[in-house]
Amino acid sequence: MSESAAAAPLQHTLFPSQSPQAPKPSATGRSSLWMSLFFPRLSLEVLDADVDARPWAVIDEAHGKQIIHAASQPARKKGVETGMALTAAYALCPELATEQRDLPAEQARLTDLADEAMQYSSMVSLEPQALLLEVGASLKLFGGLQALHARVAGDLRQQPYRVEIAVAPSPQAALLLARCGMQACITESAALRAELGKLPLAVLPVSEKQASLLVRMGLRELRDLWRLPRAGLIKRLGLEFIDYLDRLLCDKPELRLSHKSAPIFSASWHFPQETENLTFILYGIEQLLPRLVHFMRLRELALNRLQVIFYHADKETSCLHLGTRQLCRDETHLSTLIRERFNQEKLSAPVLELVLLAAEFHPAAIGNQALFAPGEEQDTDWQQVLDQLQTRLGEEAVCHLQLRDEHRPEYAWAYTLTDHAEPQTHGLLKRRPLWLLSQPQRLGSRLKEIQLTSESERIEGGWWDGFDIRRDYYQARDRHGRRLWLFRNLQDGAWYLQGLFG
Amino acid sequence: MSYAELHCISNFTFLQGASHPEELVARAAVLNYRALAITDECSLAGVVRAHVEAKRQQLHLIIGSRFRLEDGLSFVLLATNRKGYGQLSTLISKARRNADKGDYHMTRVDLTRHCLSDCLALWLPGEAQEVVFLNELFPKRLWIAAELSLTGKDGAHLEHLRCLSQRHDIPLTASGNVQMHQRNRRILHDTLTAIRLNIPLAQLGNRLAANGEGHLRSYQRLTQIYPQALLHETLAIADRCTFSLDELQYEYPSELVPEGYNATDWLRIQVEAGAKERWPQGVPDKVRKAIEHELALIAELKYEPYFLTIYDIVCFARSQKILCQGRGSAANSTVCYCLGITAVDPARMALLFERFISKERNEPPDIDVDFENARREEVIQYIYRKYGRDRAALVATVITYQPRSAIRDVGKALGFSRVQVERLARSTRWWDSQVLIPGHLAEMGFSAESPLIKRLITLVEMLLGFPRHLSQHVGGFIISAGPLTQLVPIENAAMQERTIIQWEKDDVEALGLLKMDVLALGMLTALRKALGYIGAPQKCELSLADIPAEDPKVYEMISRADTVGLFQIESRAQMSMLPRLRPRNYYDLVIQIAIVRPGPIQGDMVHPYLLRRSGKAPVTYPSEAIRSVLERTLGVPIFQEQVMQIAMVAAGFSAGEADQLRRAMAAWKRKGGLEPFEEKLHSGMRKRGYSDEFARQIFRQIRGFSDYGFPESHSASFALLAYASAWMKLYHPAVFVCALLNSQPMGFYAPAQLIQDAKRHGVEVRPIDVRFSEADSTLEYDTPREQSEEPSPQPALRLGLNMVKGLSEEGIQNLIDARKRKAFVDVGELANRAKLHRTDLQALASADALQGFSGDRYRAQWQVSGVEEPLPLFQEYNAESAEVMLPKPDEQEEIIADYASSGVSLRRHPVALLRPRLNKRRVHTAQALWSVRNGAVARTAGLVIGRQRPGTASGVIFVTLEDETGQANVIVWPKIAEAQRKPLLQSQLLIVSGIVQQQDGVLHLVAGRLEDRTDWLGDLQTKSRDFH
Repeated sequence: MSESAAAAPLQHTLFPSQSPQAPKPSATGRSSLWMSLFFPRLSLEVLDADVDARPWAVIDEAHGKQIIHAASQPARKKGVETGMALTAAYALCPELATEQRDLPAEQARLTDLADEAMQYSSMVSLEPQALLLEVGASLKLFGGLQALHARVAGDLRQQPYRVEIAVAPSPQAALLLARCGMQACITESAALRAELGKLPLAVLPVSEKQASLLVRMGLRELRDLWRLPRAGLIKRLGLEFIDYLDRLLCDKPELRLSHKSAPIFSASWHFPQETENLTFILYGIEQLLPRLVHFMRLRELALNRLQVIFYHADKETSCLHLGTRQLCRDETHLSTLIRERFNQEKLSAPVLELVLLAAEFHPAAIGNQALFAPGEEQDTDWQQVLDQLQTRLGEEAVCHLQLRDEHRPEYAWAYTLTDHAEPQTHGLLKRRPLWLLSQPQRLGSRLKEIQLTSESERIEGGWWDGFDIRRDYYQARDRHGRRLWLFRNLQDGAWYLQGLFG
Repeated sequence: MSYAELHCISNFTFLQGASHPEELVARAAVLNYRALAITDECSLAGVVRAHVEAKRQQLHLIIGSRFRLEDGLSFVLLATNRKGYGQLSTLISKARRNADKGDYHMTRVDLTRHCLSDCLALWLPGEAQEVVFLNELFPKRLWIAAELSLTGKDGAHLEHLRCLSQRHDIPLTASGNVQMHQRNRRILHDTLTAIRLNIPLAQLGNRLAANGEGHLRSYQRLTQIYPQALLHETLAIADRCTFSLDELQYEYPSELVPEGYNATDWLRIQVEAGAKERWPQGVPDKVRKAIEHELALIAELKYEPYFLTIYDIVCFARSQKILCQGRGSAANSTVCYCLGITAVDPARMALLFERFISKERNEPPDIDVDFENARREEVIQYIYRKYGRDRAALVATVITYQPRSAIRDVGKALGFSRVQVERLARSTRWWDSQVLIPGHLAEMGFSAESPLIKRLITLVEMLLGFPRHLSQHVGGFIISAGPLTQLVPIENAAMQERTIIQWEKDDVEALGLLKMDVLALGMLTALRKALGYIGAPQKCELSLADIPAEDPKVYEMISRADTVGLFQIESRAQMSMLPRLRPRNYYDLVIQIAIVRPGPIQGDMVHPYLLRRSGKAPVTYPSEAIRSVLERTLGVPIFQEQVMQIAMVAAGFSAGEADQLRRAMAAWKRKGGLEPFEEKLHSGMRKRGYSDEFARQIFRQIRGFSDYGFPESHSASFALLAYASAWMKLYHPAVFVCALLNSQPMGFYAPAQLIQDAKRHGVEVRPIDVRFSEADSTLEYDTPREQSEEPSPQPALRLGLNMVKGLSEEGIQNLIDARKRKAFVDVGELANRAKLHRTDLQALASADALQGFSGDRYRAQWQVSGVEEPLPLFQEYNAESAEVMLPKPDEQEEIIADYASSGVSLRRHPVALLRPRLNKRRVHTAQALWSVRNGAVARTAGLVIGRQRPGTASGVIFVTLEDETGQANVIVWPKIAEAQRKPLLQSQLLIVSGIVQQQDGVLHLVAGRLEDRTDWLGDLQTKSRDFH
């Protein structure tokens, strides 16, 4: 009956540096050691495709031009390289399949990986396409660097990602070495100069202008820099650049912001004995709800998805999913929803324990509403009614009728799920019946009994999606006096009934 | 009973109208319309095309335009007579000049200020009270347009208009709001809407037309929709519009003739004066006869002002020392030679003046004048000054949809993603000119069978050739006696200070208006500079006429294909032809320039000509009539004029028909329409006993000319310049390369290749150096030149500061000014005195232009990049300890840096450095290839300096390689190209193994295996000119 630990780290932001186990690089008395995990193919790996089955490339935009960000092995065989213009790539490899770079997806994968990496170090930071782990503090726990390295490499081998691992005494050096694909493992800062000196200058994260200046002065490798006067370098390349070199060589300490797991609320309630009694179960849930609401208040969050997981005997579980139309952190509303649901659904078996789980939170806008806004008040009421209806009947059962901007009658309206934007019904159709047949009905002999009562309205369109129509519409009356909406199909000359006027 | 359509837009209402004007006219004629008004929105850009077609179809065409004022008021204006046309054209000009390019702007106030007494108006109904305003402006000349398009409420709408009509006593008329000639253009019309609004079709909804009724409907159909009286009213309106574009009388500017003379006399006086200059010893009889004949013809056709106008412009150019030369049919007349418009002595040509100014065709003569490209703007501004902006304007060029742009726009409209659209557009990239080939689509993962792709293909084909916007013609001017807007609307061009008329070249020609081309030619700039350099030491002025004619040594050089940098005959294709044709005189050169063109090549004329010329095949003529046409080209038709003449003498075309054929030839690629001529040509030639094969050959050539029609009259002028440039290269190689470098960009070769070529010809080239270089490249004479008659030694070429990449013009100027005051002693002093920015200093250091002070370029770079910026006033440049531990550049690094900083290196050729490595792989130099047996396998390597795929050589790619000994020509057949695409397209350094083919002094290596060895070059950035 306790909140899971996963929710804890967020409190650091509220009460900074209170946590006793937070590593302080300078305070440990031991110089820190950094491990960098660089994922060179991440942008390809997040794609939902077998990128090595055929030439694939992920493209990115630079200076308004499409360029190759990463290319799969078959594409590289054809000469497609990172940094190449897309058009050039197509010239080499016309069958190249491409996808725009999906940065959010990459970031999400990286975050997942960071979550996992928290097991090796309490200090994990997210870098572009890479993770950085402070492992100095973890060495003892894992039995030395070699063992830790083997463990990390081994674990990552289970993952579908290619990774370059490098270890160095400074974060920047670890990152640089990993990016260069150097499987280096440097533990002494004294060794950094010699090791890094071999790297070409082109790998440094410098501006184009700086890069070209370095080339124009005939400098090729990092070691060429070590020989030059510091003051002269500052003058030519700027303080920032020298600062970077200092950090690279461990001459200047550097701190990174640690990655933090996303907030998850999870709280459980044990029943003294198995129960099917709804009263008990609802009581349990209602004990947990205030804690959930408190959790959200603290963090200025709200939810629209909530799960109740039931544990039955023999490790069986079942689950109840709840959703709200609007972001919510109102205890009563949540409670009502849950009660409504129990009126509909039956428990599959007696329950031993239940867990209230919320994993998706959003920044809350609640409480910022104007004090006197009756319209909104009513709207909220209406939303709550809808919530209740949906909870009771299922989400798909409640729909809006939505008008669409379209000439073709069949396409001029649609059902939409209620959680989509506002219903649009203004400008209600003129000269259109409210009742449309689901399929236009061909009029055979009955045509004789029908009298046209309007001039024709010609509608032609839709060729672009393959449902081209060409029709002359009329209003008409049949012998029972019903008002009909008919059309003559100009493609086959036949008459059809499309709708009835009320 | 009939109908006149009074509201109809063509595709010159860009991205709205879905049919060409010609299509609308032709359709209206088929439907038996009494008349058709073309009423593009604030534009008359499409009316000439409609007019030409209407004459053919004998349809009454009404000229009008549609307007929408700022407040939404919309109406159509129709011109009743010449005066009304002028009013309409002036109104359009006003509205167009009031807005940015492509747009127009008009308010009610503008409208009331404008006289429109001879125009009729149709109100396009909007707010009811609008009609009151219009009724005041157009009393008894206003109608309410009833436009019914089966909306389902047409009845109510008509009733509403009836009420208005009665209340205000304004008659109603039917009109169609036509936007396409046939219903089946509906899909294109929808697509155009999507393109215009930049929204995919699927999202357009009600912004699309509800149906396709906006087409030209049959009379029978119209009677079902409109009351008879309204249809009848259209005829009454049409009857009042009697204006035809044929009434436009062009008046030549008159101010060129001084008081007291008439144009005929004045022209004669000028010609006589010129003749005296050309023939100081007296005009030969033959020439005298020609002059008299030409002047008589000119007088008869009243073309004096045309010749005087051009003469005036040429005189202006000459007074400003701007080199110019005329070309074109009339340019090669004796009169033009006397007037100095051209330097082609007609005695050297077999040209007959009359052939080009024809009495029966009654069309204006055609003279294009080329000016130095750098100074053409002065000429243009002179014309504007002299005639005023209301009387002179540039002709428009209609920019039309090409495969790529069509695919892009249609693809976007159909909802393809950006990347897909780009790929589809690029699929037309290189081997084929055809659009969207199924094989290519499949290669890119698109199925040609998918409905989406099918729609794309259909729409792209429809859209091709549709006008997209008006742009300015490269130099076509129209000048009139009175205000030009009376003739044609003027609108703003994209360029500041430029205005264009709404018609393009063909339109102007079709109406028989005077037009002249003021064109820009880089070679004229180079020649003028070269003449100046040669004359400068003697302080004398040379002109093209001072170049000795017909020097056999010049032709020898040309025949060796030693033509890098020469005008017109420096391309790969030309170079491979020269040793075979071996031009020996001026007329050979005229042929040489014209023969390496799509026309002769596609007509299979090249080989027969070469055989006949070398005596390997007999010179025969299918008939005596054809002998007269083809004798000067050994019985093989090579020039456009000859093909036209054959059509006349062998297929019975009249002169007028032959001229139509010429026009159709020029437009064929865009519009098609050669088929009727093909039929006529075949039947005509068969009737006169010529073989079908000969007829087919002639027709193939006609089609070929459409790509780039090349007439003898142009070739004749170009040959003069080609000869002049060759003479310059032979006798003054340093001067020539210096002039070329200072006229960049131009020609076929980059500066690096020009310099390599000059060095091979013994020119000493000196590097860019801040102590000596001027802004431009210069010539340095080492020994003080004596006043002796001895031919002076060749000067050395000093490269100019303007070749330094990244050096600002201001920096160059400051540097030169400071140096003039006192020579520099070191970098610090230079930086200080010339007040150079750090980026300028760095650019100089990179280009090794500081080698005189700082040792190598790395040290120079270190030194200058330490300069504080901005330099504090009066503060001495503060020198750091000079010695730093920088690497020393090796030769390869120096070469790489040279190319990167100026595109040129005077050190060894990059390939020379690799020679030991290449030798190990038994790679021949370009030179050594010549000693390889014909047909043997050999290997060569070089920097790729050009890739070409001539449109005429079915998929073959020519690659030009350069090494330290010269250039090697590689032929890559399509199969090899396809299989080895990567090395072919990507290499900077390429090793090619293949078979040597040597013939008539031309050497090709037919590629077998291509190997990309760019990695050997390190960071060298070389440039290749690809696929021009």
